[in-house]
Amino acid sequence: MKNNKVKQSELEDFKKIAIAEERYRKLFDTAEDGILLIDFKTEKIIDANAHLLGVLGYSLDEIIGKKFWEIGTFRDIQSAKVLFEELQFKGSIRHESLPLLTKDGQEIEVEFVSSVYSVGTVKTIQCNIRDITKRNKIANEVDKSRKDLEAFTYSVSHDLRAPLRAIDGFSKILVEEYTPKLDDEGKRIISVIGQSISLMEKLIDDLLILSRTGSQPMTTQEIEMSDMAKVVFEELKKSVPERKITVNFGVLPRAKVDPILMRQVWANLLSNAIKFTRLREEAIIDIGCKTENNMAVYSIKDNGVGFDMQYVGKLFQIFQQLHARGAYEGTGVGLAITKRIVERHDGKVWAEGKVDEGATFYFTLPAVH
Amino acid sequence: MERNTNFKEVDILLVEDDPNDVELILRTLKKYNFGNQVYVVKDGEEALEFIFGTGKYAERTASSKNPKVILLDLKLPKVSGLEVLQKVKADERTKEIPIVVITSSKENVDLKESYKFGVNSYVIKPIKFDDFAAAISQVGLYWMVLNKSTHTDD
Repeated sequence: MKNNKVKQSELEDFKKIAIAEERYRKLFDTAEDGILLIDFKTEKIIDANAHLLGVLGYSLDEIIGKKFWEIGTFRDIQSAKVLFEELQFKGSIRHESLPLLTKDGQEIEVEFVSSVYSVGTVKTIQCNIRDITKRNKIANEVDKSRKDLEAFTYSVSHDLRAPLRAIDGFSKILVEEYTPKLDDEGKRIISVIGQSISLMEKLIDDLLILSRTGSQPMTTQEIEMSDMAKVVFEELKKSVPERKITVNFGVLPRAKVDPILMRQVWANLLSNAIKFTRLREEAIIDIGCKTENNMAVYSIKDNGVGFDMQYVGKLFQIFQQLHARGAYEGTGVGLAITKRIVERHDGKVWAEGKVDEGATFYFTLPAVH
Repeated sequence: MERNTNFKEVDILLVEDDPNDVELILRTLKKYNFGNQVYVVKDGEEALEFIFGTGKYAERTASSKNPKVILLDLKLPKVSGLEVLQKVKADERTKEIPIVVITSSKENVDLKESYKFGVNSYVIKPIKFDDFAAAISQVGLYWMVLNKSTHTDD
């Protein structure tokens, strides 16, 4: 009776083990990554899953019981023997991108992660091999089109500059040398040409900045955001000495950012706040920050002309302006640049506003502890 | 626009392919009385022939004096401005000629490369003509009048 009971529980245990084995076997068989198991002592392959066999083009019989480097595929990888020695010392190795040959001679790229562990008394090496050929190919294509776009922007911005310089130069010559022959209307027309040139110049510069902010490598450091905001504001204030502007600086936490790019964000948002409060006798700008869900939420609130929330989606799109040209100078690129910079810092931008009741722009950055 | 045709007596060599820029630069130089000894070449290859007295400039022998300054655009047909800069600065006979790059390029790469090859000044062409004229006249004044070269003959 007692004996029977023990047997019963052993059977239960055995069943549990069988279920666990079945479960992990399924995991191994259906994994979308290649898995290879090697006996550490004999250096012979114990098992390989279906995915790996599919990727490499071998059958299980062809590789089981063989030594790692006896298989064509692994013959060259950093000399597989060195890999083994490395494993012995480090316990694990990782190669982000390793070239391999399949059985039929195709070159593929794999991510190769390998570690050693003991099962009972048997030391096992597990290799996880992920085919990243496609991923690398797409990444290369993206990289290439990004470079193409950069080259295109570069050459466009240069080639646009030259004729613009000529237009300005020759219209100035017209003014200098033909003034007696020009009446007031003639002079007005020339001044319109001049203004248009300034706008075009700004547009070209902004486009260049926009294209660069997407691609230039960032160098981040922790900075005082309030110092940066104050400096940028003081600089912008100089260009409108006649305006009465009150700025209330709240407490701004430090942030880990690329200073050059972040300066651009403050410059864009503050110059907008200054620009769209132009009709107010006293412009009031509130700069603040609160922390929510580990993100610092910076805000710039103004009492300017505001905007209709119906069009909020257009605000951050390139070349979209909610105000008629001429009413407020601008290229329609500034907020697109702001958005791109903030997103590169893993943050978000948005805005709230109401016609004639001011606007508030928000951007978030990961909180610094 | 009249051009200097006596290329043995050249003070300013202007290397520029854009005819409008050429005209604007020449006008400005003339206004400040630097206009008489300017010679214009339109690509990098011609610039090198002029500077080293080869090709159609073979008459310019080694004894012809070097220009006091070379105003060099970067984006040029055939041979680029950077290549011209590099070759002139690498040659014992010509390396002391001051070279001022005058370009639309605001690219850091171009700026860095130019200084690496030994450019004497790097000027970004302003779009506004008043700024452009001011920049050109300052370059003229500095390199033609104020700067003392190692072989000043006056």
